[in-house]
Amino acid sequence: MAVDATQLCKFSQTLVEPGATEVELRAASSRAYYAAYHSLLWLGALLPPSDSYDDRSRHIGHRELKRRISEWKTEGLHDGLASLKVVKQQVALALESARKFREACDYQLDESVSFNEANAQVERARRILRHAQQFRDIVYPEPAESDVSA
Amino acid sequence: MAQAVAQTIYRDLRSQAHRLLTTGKPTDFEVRRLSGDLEKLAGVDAMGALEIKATLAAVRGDHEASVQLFDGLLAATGGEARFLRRATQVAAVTGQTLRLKALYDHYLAGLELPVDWKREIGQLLGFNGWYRESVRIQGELRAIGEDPGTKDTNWLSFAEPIAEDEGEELPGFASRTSATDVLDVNGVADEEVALLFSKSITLLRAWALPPAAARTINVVHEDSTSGIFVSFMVKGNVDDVAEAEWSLFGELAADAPPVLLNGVISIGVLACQGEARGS
Repeated sequence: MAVDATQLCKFSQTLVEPGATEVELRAASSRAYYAAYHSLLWLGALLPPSDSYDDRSRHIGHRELKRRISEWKTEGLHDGLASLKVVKQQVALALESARKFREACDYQLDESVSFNEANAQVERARRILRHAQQFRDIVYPEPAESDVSA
Repeated sequence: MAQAVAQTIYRDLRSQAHRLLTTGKPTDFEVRRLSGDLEKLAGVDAMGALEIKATLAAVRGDHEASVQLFDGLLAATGGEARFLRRATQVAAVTGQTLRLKALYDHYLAGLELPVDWKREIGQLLGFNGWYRESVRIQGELRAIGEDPGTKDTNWLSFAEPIAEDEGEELPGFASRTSATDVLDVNGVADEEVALLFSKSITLLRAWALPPAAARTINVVHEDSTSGIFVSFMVKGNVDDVAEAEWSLFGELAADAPPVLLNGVISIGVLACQGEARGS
């Protein structure tokens, strides 16, 4: 992989500094969303299509990813995911908030974007990444040391 | 002379009650001390004392008592403007969104209000998620050449009818007018939004992060669907506020409100420490 979600998120953080221009704040907010999106894409690919998935699209778009996380059809994936119903809903809502703010940043140039808003977007993305890692650790657990030595 | 003294006491206590209402989480000690000071006022301005008592009930989170006191006050004074205005402010600031709308419908809807009050009520309704009525009021103000309360970045400022020399930091409210279209297209009832706002404001206040503003951005997605992103603006450090946002997501999802889960409305919480209002 040439670049990963963590790198995108770290890059967005570097842009949100006191004195940053609005262009930088918008770019940071946009990259932060994509960091969040990509951190969950692997899981979206493992989860079954949402109830409203259009088979013709053949890819996991922004809305579909959020729906798959929200519907959380984890049967057959890993038992450890089933209990994370609150967390998955937090992740789904955070992802949707981040998505909306990203679209405002990218498409609505007449809307002002503040330092605080960009900062909040980066924090939102960081928390999504943290929980994406939690999901990954459940689905792909590190082999125990005894297993490795064996 | 006595009246001037009474007015001074009233303004002082009212200012203190307002501070408790809008900043952080007041301690029991602060509320008790102010309640004790009300005795001084009650002897010279019973109605004024009742207003502050009703405000303090709201500060304590005893909304039932606050409503009873305000309703008694409004009945006794024939809906006197200053008390009515205060009752709507208290309802809005504390997230009693249905109460705000009930007061508005009962006392204010259809009346020719002074421009500054009309502007304020439009802001309060918007802050509580009553977008359709808020937008309608803003449209009426524009039609008569008045500022609906927006600046170039769609910020509204909320002016309280206290003398300007009070120097208080008052809450500001922001609203974007195209939210009505989003709600219409998605078939969302006003009450659904108001209840979502009520829970959000109530929880944030309980966590000592009372919202001082709500910025609304209307978004048209790439697939041509639309939604609203609301940022409740609070004073606090970035990390604490980000954690509060995360907790809020969990609490809001527990009720499974369709308007939130289907993505028509999304919520955010914004740390505004150090950022000038309206910038």
